[in-house]
Amino acid sequence: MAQTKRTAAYRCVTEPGGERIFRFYCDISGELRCVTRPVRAETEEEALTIAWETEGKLAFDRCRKCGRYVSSAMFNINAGQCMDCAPWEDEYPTFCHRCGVKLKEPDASFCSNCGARLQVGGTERKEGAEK
Amino acid sequence: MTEYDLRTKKALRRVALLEYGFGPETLQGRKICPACGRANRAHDTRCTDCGAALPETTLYDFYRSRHRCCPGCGVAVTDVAVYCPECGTRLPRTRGEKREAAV
Repeated sequence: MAQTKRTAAYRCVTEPGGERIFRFYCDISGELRCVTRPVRAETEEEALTIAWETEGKLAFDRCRKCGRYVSSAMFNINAGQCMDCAPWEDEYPTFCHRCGVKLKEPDASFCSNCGARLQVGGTERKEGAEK
Repeated sequence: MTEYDLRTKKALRRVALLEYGFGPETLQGRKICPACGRANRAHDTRCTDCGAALPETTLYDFYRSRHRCCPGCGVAVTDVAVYCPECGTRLPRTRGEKREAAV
């Protein structure tokens, strides 16, 4: 995981009184998720920390794989990863993604024909999902 | 909100995802303003916040553009999928698989 990423993408606007407002955006889609209240601090770095800790981070989910901060629309809650790392998967698929057989059990976890795990939970090859 | 037959587990799960703000329906119903980043409804043509012209494409199109998709039904699929889990179409090989096969 990219541990160096401290906050989501942001823009800072300094008001005439010296207070700073931060606008935080989803790292994937660019969606505006939070506009903070004006923050008074000595430096922009300090103001950013306050704004992020008190307001910004509450509006985001963090991908446990790549470390990016994303909106709920871009966060695969089932996999705990962003939609780039883990595209959405139907929890009740109609066909097995490995052998193509039509599934009989609507909520099965594994294919009864080939044994493949039906939920992959990410874009990387994993045990049970390989051909 | 889309109306579902809530007698099925699948429909209940979709509704739960909608409430959370995730899933294909959420993405299909949302457009992001390229000027200010505000999320707008899919049928809006101007940003409700800054008035800028919104793109034709929704967040779902954006999401699909970043993934391998089924040529049959269009859903995004994982890299490991050989068949589409939604419609059963045999998927074309990924670039990585083609390279492996050539070696």
